[in-house]
Amino acid sequence: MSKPILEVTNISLSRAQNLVVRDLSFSVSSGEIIQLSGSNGSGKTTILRALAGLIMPDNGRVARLGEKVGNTTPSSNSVIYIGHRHGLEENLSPLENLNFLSQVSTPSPIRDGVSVLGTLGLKTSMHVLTTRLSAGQKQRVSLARLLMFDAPLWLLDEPFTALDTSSKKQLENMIDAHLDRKGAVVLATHQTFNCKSQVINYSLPVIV
Amino acid sequence: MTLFPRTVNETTSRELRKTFRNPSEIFYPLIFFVLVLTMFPFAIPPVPGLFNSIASGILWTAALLAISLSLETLFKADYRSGALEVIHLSGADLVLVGVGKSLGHWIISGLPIALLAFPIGWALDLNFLTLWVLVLTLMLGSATMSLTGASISALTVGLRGGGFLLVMLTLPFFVPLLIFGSSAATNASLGIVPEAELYFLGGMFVLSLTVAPWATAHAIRIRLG
Repeated sequence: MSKPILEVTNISLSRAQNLVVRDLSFSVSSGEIIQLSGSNGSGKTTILRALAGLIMPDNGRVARLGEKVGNTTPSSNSVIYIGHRHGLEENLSPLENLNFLSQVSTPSPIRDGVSVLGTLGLKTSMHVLTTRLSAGQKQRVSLARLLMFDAPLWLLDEPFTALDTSSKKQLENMIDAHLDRKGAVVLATHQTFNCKSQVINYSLPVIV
Repeated sequence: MTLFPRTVNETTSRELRKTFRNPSEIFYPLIFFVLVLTMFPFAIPPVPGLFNSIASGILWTAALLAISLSLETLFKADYRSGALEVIHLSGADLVLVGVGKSLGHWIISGLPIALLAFPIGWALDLNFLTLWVLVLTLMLGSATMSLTGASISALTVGLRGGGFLLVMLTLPFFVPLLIFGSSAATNASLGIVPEAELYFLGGMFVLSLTVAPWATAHAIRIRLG
């Protein structure tokens, strides 16, 4: 049996010194998708940031592909994290933003910025300054990283925010294709979405 | 073949490109620098030779403050937009990103201020040797400020009152540069070769180039956590 892509063992997490997640454990294997749900403040974003290696749990262990995650050495070749913020420099065009990433990232991208932006329907706006794009267009540029880099684990925080119906459908197809390629997805969303695979739902309680 | 590693080149050109599209970031420090220098003569008594003897010190002080003020913006936009997070998770070498950011900051703030010091110093009646020493010390000193300041800017980005904290934390590092930089120019105006001061400034630059980018990388990781 293959190793799980992600193993979370008894993690506790704090935000601004308040405990938001207590003793959470789960694992994600190839082809699986996990949806984190719960009301505002239940710690969905905090969990995703911990899984990405951006914050360290107070207790417990997060391992990707059997390797413990630390915030000093993000294993960029095993994860792509799409957070709340789009992560784009407003005074650069979408293509310039992606080209910069493709030049500095390790490992190198599997597709170039032009083709990825074309796939996402942003061919005509790839040279426009990001500051002039709509919220939905910025979100699509942010999602371009999913197609540009090859990583088995996708961590998606409210990925459907600001997307129109066709873009939402395209993201659902991208998730399906990723799961077919034996990838795994952990996402936090309040929206309903369609997925070919069965979605495992984790409902997070609010810790008072 | 390029002079710097690819990550440094790409980071620097990204910094320059985004700043030239929002040029107020370049002009504010320069305007501040010029304004301080044009206002100062009105505030001192009209004693012959007084201004000439303190001009290099005033030029250095104005340059130091202008560069300190410009440091706050170095990581601010990237932190707020989440771009810093994306860069970190992309597996980019943060040490080289720190060097690229510092180099971009120096080209945008330190270099123009050092070059602008030449015509301003000439207008303030500084002699030719003093002007050259002033420009050289400002170039070395501002490069050191960009490298050291980048690490403190990364450490204070996103904090409430971070701008004030940044100035308070950078000044102790910058004061020795001010002392040796202005002293070099003053000695040059007296006809003394400022060898010791130039060695000190060169040494400080090499030390900051060796240490500061690692501190910047670590500070980015701390702030993102």
